[in-house]
Formats: sequence, structure tokens, C-alpha cells
Amino acid sequence: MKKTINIPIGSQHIALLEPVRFKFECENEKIVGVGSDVGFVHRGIEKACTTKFKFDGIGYVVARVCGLCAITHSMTYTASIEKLIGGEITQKAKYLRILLLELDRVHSHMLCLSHTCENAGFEAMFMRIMGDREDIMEIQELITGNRVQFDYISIGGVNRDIDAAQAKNILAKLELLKHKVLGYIDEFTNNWSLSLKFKGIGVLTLDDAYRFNTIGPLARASGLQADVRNEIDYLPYDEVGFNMQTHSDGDINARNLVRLSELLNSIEMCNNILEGLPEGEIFTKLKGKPKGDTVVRFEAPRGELMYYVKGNGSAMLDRVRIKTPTFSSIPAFSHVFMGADYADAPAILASFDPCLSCTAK
Amino acid sequence: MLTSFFKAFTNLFKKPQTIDYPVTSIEKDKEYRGLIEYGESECIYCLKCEKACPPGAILFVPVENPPKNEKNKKGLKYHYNPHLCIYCSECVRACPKPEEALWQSNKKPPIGIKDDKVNDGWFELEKLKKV
Amino acid sequence: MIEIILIALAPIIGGLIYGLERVVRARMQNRKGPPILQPFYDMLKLIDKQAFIVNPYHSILGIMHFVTLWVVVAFVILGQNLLYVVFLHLLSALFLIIAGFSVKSIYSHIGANRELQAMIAYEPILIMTAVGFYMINGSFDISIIRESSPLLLSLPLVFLAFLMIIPIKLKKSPFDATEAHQEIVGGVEIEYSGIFFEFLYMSKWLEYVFIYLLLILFAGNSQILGAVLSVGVFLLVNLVDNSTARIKMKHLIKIVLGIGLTLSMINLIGLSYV
Repeated sequence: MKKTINIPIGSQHIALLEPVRFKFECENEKIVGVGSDVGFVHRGIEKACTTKFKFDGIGYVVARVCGLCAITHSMTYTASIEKLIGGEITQKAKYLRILLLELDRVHSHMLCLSHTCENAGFEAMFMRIMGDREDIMEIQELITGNRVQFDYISIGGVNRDIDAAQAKNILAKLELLKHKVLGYIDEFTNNWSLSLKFKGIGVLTLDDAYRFNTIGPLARASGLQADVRNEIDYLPYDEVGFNMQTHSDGDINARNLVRLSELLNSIEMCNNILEGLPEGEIFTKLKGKPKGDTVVRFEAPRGELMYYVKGNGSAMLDRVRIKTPTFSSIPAFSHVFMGADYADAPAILASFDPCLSCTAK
Repeated sequence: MLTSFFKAFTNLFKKPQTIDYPVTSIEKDKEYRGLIEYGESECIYCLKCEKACPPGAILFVPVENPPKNEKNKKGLKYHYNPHLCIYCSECVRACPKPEEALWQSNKKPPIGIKDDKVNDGWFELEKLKKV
Repeated sequence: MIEIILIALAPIIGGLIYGLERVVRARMQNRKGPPILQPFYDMLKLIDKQAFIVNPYHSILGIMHFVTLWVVVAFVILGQNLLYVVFLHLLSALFLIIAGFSVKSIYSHIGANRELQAMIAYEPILIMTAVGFYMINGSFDISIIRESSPLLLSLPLVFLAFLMIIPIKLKKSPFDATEAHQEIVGGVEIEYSGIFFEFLYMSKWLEYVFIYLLLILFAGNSQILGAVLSVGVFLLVNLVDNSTARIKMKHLIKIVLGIGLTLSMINLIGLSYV
């Protein structure tokens, strides 16, 4: 008679936002083996980029790879084409691009925090954070015209401008949001039942994080200093007040605290940009076709995103290769699950923040 | 834990945050990305909007009774598919006369229902274009 | 005569309490909530759906769980022996557990396992409550307990222990690990569909009626104290539900048995000296 039972968290489950399948082998609710399967939403985007669309329209195609980090994909592709064609964009366009990237990071982290609370059984906190997230969606609709898919970045600059009245409106809303985020930090550290569910569970030590090459908030919560915004120079992050946030415990509570501190840092960066916005044009026309190949990296809300683009001088590209952050974190996921209780598995999975439409493009 | 407790208690006496849509209608402001509209009398038939559109939602197709315009040398007519359009307004930025011939309004796009077969007429137009 | 009408309408009264509670819980979370008659609209929809019968024992045990719970509520209204009521309630829970083990689904097995572990936590406290009533009145009969003076003043610690097991029976945070719908997708209820799921849904309404009737017993013959206790406990259970997360089974058993059983034993030993 077998000693273990197989419990699936299948591709369709109430606790999952995304279609991923994990099969656990458990001895009476304690996990001893993990098998994983991704690839349920494969759409063939990399092939479509080289056959059906011209190079100036692909910025809109790759924004539809993912719903939450849409603008980061579009930004990385545009940066690589601008490197191949060669040309300078104005300082005002660079500041506006950073503004939208940080606003996108804020609403993605709020979604992840509310989902972690819901999987731990605390529905009231889930409803509260989602209700406050509506304020960020209204700000995004004021700037770009749409709540989630922005279509804001094109080759040579950005598409719309901000005037002074809109900037004052946005600054007032961000101030209200900052008070609410301070309330969340207080709730996450002082609630007794949440600390039974979050502290000391799902631990990833510093040695394991280094060995499995983890990226994003998952690595920063274990103490590894890995953030792409420190290492690039296409956008002036050091002028707007960026600080890297780390923690040293490595459990679910540490990941939540890292995301909350990143929220506060992003709100501060948006305040600095709106108060010190330079004058100038928002769009410069760049002429030419891409020739050669290049590699560009950026920091999506979930980790490091990399693009490899190769062109041969015509309007159709030769190769577009996308490496998404969740795909390189899957070995670390499978390692953390071993030895935990099955009752903690949905909460651990939500704290990793998987985005499967990015993984199986 | 006590802050959540008191917050839950005071929420009983406040108005809920839910909007009663579609019983109450929501107003969209003028910067909303809505339908693309066309002014035929100002168009110069340069076909730049058709080349710039990423999904190919604007087509100029030769027909028997073309509109009477002195710039229309090849007898073309403008066709627009609101179900393929992604409302990015690349066409408006590529047009030489952006406020007079082609502009973006703030009307809501239509809903596509499968039984209406909204795309069948469009595939016929695409075949005419390839010929 | 009025008791026969109350027994016949017991599921409907339970459905109205359940519907009202959903609106109160939604208002506490700053949302609007469903209409109050929503449980009955759910019942009409479930009757239309296709019912799968996995094996005959599974479906019959589900129906027997509902029927036994209705008999328990009938006994409480008619004023029978309290100890019989507690043991009949145990029998209805056992029907559900055996039904959970009789199919091959893994979620059903884990849910039945957790239900069995939760029973270890709440059964001793229910029996201690019945023993406490006996020590004051000298009889287990519910009709005699209803005529006596309010028991709240001489059984305060037993009342606190009873408050601790209410979230386990009504499936609310922090003690709702038996029906954890994010982890085990409903536990025992997962294999029921159509009209058989309707029987399980109605037995949830009857649990509400049972718990609130037992709560009114603590007030004796004073009607005002009974009404105040019901409304107060209704609000308190929902407020605690909206401010805590769900804790695991091993913590549940440690807390409920460790604190609840100790408090009720201290109260009973104190009563025997007075």
C-alpha cells in the first residue's frame, strides 16, 4: 500500500489567479515531492512578431503578453529599437516614462498583497485593498485614457502630455494613498492570526536564493541585493530618488514587507517627478530601419525582464526573444514547497506572485 | 486586530463604495480613448493611416460608386472596423490633417456578439484588397 | 399548535437569517451585498441543475444528515431532553463524515478528516454546557430550563467557552478550517451537485437556528435578555469574522480545548462548592 497521496492544485482552482499546475505528493498533509507544469496559455507571440507585424507596430503587440506588466514589455522593446536605430529622446519623455512605470508597479503590488491575504482566509483585507486600488486606476485613466492597457510609449517618445491642473489633481490623490499604505503596514505587522499564517512559513534562505538565481522581490526578501534599476542607464533612476529595499528573513511576512516598502518608494518617486517635470517636446521623429542585434533588461514588478532583438535592415524583424521573470523563478518555487503543510500551499503560491501569461507566451 | 475590528464596525454606517451600473450611467471625460471618426470632405487619400494601423482596422477598397472628391483618383472608399481597432490613435498621429479628416471621439465602442457575425463582411473586403 | 408551525417553517427562518447575515457582512466590508432573499433564489437555480449520483450511499447519507438535523431542531422547540439533543447532533455530523469518506476524491477525504478533528474540539464543550444546566436546575429537560431564572449570572465562563465554539459550527473565521474554500475547495461538499447540494445548503441554515436556540437557553425566562443576547452575538461573530484570518487545525484544537475546556471546568467545580 502506498505511503503518499497525490493532491493537485490544478490548472483551474479557486485560489489561483493564473493557470499553473502543481502536483504535490503528501504524507498526511505534509509535502514531500513537487511536480510542476506551465504552458496552458501559449499563444505564439514570438512567431507573430517576425511574420505578421512590421517593426513599428510590435510595441503594441508585446504589450498584450501580460496584463499587469504591459508597459514594461512595451518599454523594453522600444528601448532596444532606439538603440539599434540610434537617436536621442528628450528629458521630458524619459521622466514621463518613469512616471508610468512606477504607477504600474504600485497597482501590481497592491493586487499581489490583496491576493495573499485572501488565500490566508482574511477576505475583509482583500476587499479593502482592492477598493483602494481603484484610486490608482483613476489616476491612470486621467493620464493615458485607459485603466490597464496604456499604449502610451511609441518609438521616439510618449503619446500624451500632462498639464499643470492634472498634475495637482494627481498629487492630491497620491497623498491620500500614502496614508492608506501606512495603515496596511500597521495591520500586517500587528494582526495575531496573520502572524500565525505568515511568520516562519515558506522560508528561502540566502544561500538557496544565490544558488537558484532568484530575481525580484523574492530575492530581495532573503537579503540578496539584486535590482536591475541599479544597473541600467537608459532612464535616469538615480535623479528621481530610487532606493533598493531589502529584508533578511525570507518568509512570507518578509516578502509582504518588501512589497509595501517598494510601494512607498514608488509613490515618493512619482511625487518627485511631478514636482520637477522639465519643459520640452514629448516626441521626436526617428528615421531608419533596425539592423544588428542587441540585449536590453528592465525591472518589471516581478523581477528582471530581458529582450533580444535582431534585425536585418528591412521592416520585418529576424528574431524577438522574450525572457520573463516568472520563468526563471520556477526552480525556487519547487524548492520552497518541500517540507511545508498543504494548508499553507495557496498562501505561499500567492506570495511568489506568479504571472503565467508572461511565462507561456 | 483591533483596528480592523473598529473599522468593520464603523463601515456599517457609511455609504458603500459600489456604483449601481448600469442603472446609473458613468460619464467618461473627453480624454477617453473612443471611436475613430472620419470627415470625408477633407481627406486627401494619401493612405498613411492604413499603413500605420497595427492590426489593420482601416481599409481603402475600390468600389463602383466612390465618393465624389477631386483627390480620389483611384475610386477608393474608406472602411473602418471598430471590433479590430485597439484605439491607440496611431492613425490620427500619422494623418497630415489630424483634426479635420480623422479624429478620436470619446464614444464607447460597440459590443461584438457572436451571432451577429460582425467580421464576415470584413473578410470579403480584405480579399478585394489582396486582388 | 404554534410549535408545529415553527418546526415546519424552521428552514425558511434559517434562510432569512443567512440572507440577512450576508448583507451585514458585505456592509462591514464597504460593499453593497446581495438581496436578502438570495438563498431562495439559489435554491430555485439548484433545482434546475443536473444531479450526478456518484454512489447511492453518498447521496442517501447526505439526505439523512439534513433530516436528522431537522429532527434535532424539532426536539429543541418541543422541549425534550438536552443530552439526547447533543447526541443526536453528533449522529448527524457522523453521517456527513462517512459520506465524505465514501467517494474517491482527495479533497473530500481531507475535508472529512478535518471535520472529524474539529469534532474532538467542540463536543466536550457542548456536553459541559448540558452538565452545567443540570447542576443548576437538577434536570436535563429543556422545558424546565426555559422556566428558570437567567442562567447567565451563574455560568459566565461556560458562556465564554460556548462563544468560542460558535465560529466552528457556523464556519466563520478564525476557526473555519473544515470548509476552507481556498485550500480544499469546499471539503465534503465538493461531490454533491444539483438537488443533493441543496440538502447540504439547507442544513447550513438549520445549524444557524440550532445555535441561536441554544443561545437563548442561557437567558432562561427573560425574553428581553434573550433578544439582546442574540443580536449582540450576531454582530460580534460577524465583526470577528472580518478582522481575522483562518488558522490551521492543530492551532484550533490547542486553543479551543486548552482555553475552552479549562474555563468550563473551573466554572463547574466552582458551582459544586456554592
